[in-house]
Amino acid sequence: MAHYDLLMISDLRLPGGTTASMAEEIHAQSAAGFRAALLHVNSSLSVKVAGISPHLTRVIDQGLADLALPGDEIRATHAIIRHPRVAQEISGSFPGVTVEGVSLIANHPFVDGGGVAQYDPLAATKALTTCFGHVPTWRPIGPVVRESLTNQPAAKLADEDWVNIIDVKRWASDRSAGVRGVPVIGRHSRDHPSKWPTDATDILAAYPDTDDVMVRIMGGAEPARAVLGALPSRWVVEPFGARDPREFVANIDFFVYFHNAQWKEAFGRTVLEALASGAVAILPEQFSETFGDAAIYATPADVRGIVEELSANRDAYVWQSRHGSAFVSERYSYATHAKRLSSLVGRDVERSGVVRQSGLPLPGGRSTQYNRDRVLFVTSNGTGMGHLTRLLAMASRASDSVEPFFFSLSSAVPVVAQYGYGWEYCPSRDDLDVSPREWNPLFTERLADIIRRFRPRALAFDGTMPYEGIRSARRAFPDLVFVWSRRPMWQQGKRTEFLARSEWFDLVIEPGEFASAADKGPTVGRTDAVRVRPITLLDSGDALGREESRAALGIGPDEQAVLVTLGGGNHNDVTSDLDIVADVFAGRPGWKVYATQAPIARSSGPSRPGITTISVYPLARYLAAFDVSVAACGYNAYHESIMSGVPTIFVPKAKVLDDQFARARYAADVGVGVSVDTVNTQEIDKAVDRVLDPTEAALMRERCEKLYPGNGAAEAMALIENLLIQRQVPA
Amino acid sequence: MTPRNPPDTRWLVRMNTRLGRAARKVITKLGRAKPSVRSLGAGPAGLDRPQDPPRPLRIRAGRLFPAETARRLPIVVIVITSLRAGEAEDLAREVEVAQLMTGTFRPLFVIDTADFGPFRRRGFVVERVMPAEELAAANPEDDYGEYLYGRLSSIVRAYGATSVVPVPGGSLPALRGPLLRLIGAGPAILAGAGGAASGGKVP
Repeated sequence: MAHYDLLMISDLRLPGGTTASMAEEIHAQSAAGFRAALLHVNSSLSVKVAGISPHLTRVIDQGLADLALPGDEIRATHAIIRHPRVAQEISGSFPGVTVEGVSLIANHPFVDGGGVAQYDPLAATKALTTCFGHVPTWRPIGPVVRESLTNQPAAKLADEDWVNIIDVKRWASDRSAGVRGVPVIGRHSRDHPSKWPTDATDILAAYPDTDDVMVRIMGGAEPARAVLGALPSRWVVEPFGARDPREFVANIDFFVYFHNAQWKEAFGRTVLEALASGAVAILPEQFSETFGDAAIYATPADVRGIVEELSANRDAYVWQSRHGSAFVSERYSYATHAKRLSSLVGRDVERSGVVRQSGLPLPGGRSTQYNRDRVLFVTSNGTGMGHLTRLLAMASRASDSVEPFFFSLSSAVPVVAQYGYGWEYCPSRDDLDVSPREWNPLFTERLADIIRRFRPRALAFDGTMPYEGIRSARRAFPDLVFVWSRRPMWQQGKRTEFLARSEWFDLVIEPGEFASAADKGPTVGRTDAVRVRPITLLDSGDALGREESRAALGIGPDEQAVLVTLGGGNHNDVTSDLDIVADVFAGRPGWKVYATQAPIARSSGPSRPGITTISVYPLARYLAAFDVSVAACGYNAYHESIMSGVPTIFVPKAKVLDDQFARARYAADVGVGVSVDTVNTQEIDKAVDRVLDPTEAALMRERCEKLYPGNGAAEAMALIENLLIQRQVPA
Repeated sequence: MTPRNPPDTRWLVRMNTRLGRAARKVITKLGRAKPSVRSLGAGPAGLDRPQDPPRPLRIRAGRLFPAETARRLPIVVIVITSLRAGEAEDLAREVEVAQLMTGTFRPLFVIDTADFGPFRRRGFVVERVMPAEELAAANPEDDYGEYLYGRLSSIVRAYGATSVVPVPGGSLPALRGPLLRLIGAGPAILAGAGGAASGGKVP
């Protein structure tokens, strides 16, 4: 038979405050050394078919409490049943369960604001007495519930309220700077008509639809929509459970909670959370018994004036914030819970009798000790790895105060793990072969989940088309800094409407282009971007020398080696182009062809005899191993080739957004390489003659070294970090 | 066009529909050229309606079932954790065999490694979740069970999957042939769906 200090019983499916409070108590009591089991009973409070609330599945998964099932043999010092309605609906008994005492947590008023009884105290007391053989002690969670039960003889009330508790240290956020430039009003409650005012004027007074405040709502706002006809466009509304409540309240200045006049809030757990985080709470008078002078009590019509006044007076705001937090810390701490459990269970808390603050996690949270700012690097897919590599170049030059994390549509994203960065992946639209209309919701949901979970301070996107999901994220996460790394050199006549999406971003960085003088595309002349030098993963000094790189790739010191790197390997024309190049070199004795297979290639590498496949990343590290190369004209390959100085034949592709023909021709014009417009034996043969000519090859090497402007990756990363500093985010 | 006299309601409905279609065509055409026009026309023309519930992704069935109708086969999510070296290739091959033998499902793989290749080469869709230790390193306070459950739920919703098959790492040697083929036993063949290597329809 298992023995526990506590057997906690309720309808464990309830999604809101009932199970959230249980989870908080489990954290506190577990830290204090109490063992607890959870037992579920069905009740009419939960009409949906559902599993146990996520609040509780987490503490069960974490081993903070055991889940008992009907029929289990359990002995507990004390049983705590939460919610009188659950208690009154318990029928029969629990064979195998033995307890020495019973408490019923009355977390709901006996009657609502309209005088309607919410449960039957006599039935609840009788059911528990029959079930456990002990008359329960009723423990109201606050003055509102206590008052509603005062004249109920069946409810034997404890002298002290069983108040909700919270770990203030874990919720606290720094408010010393006062209210944000645009004050943020927030509310967090279930999406139920009882939780919203019924009058449109009250709703819009408490949650204004104006530009001088921002309104953020978590928990849905359907009742408000029903009253107003439509939701105000400026509100940011997220569903219940959309993100960690700690993060939500940390990002608001004022917690404003007005509800249906007929509703009696038993306690107000979300108010407690807001106060613990330091948000200033503005509430109806009804809450004053529970929260004393920790909150400001007002009518909806007063809200705007209070917000304006405290926004203009930093000291007053900070005082009220700290006062609220201190009030919560004094009355509703984990120590409060440990103390009352000690008296119920009849023993002191573990060892010294001092309650340890829980070091155990709350859902989805980030450690308060975590002090590096995470930047989420988001890349689209592409025909190659350019988007990913550019962001990796920036990330690897971030200062120590930034932690890069990647979210990519490229199947090559695992390469970032080599640099020690975490990553998540989402299949691209091309990979799934579906329409944008089908794919956009997938990306939108995935991106939002990743932002909620990993809580970056900035999002840096590299791609030519910012997706709808980025716009949605911009609305849902207004505090996040958005950066677009938008390479130039777009082909003329291609779709340009995506350029207008620069409005979604706080900063647009334009990675430099060696061939910028030949750029005739639509990004030329735009003033919305900050330009930096070309961005490559490696600086020229990072590449290996000829001998080292040859040794690494298994190329003999005297071998004549040509590198053929024609892109991501997912284009059908890659194979035929490779065959032509291989044919040309086959006619030149002593030359050996090495072809790359990119990490993103779907098909296996070239199987033609005489071609050796190499798959290394970053390729730029090993370019010095080759005497000459034949390279595609994507951004990466182009700039890495020129940076390396290896005499190169540039082979442009037409079916891409960037103007690869202009790049290739410019390289030829300035003498850093040879350009081939059409891949056929004759053209390649002529080009090969040129790069193999010792004089011309030497000149190419010399010009590359002289003309290459250097790496702009560090500049780009510095721009992002500076923006974080400007936004008063310590970077 | 001259309305019949007196115009009945059916005529009005038809006209409304025709005009709506015409307006949508014009605005769509203009919208492609100018984003501002697109934005202006979005509301009345019914473009970009965010309230439309997302449709399940009609992903491809794999290289052996290229027919468009194969995109109607039920999706089975195969979750394989802690793959050992070489197991991704084995699993992809075995599932492809099972798919070919039954012709009843589209596999969608969820892995916690970086072995995308064996699945992508076969034209299968592959998703990836972080393994527990990676999540713990990235977000020490996150709960892995909740992460995994949430991500899988989201995948099931997005793709309209009909079933989830968890495969613990190390169990692959026992999961072969007739046993693995049971993946295809659950979902029913949809009328007209199928394909097979020839791309033809299943009778």
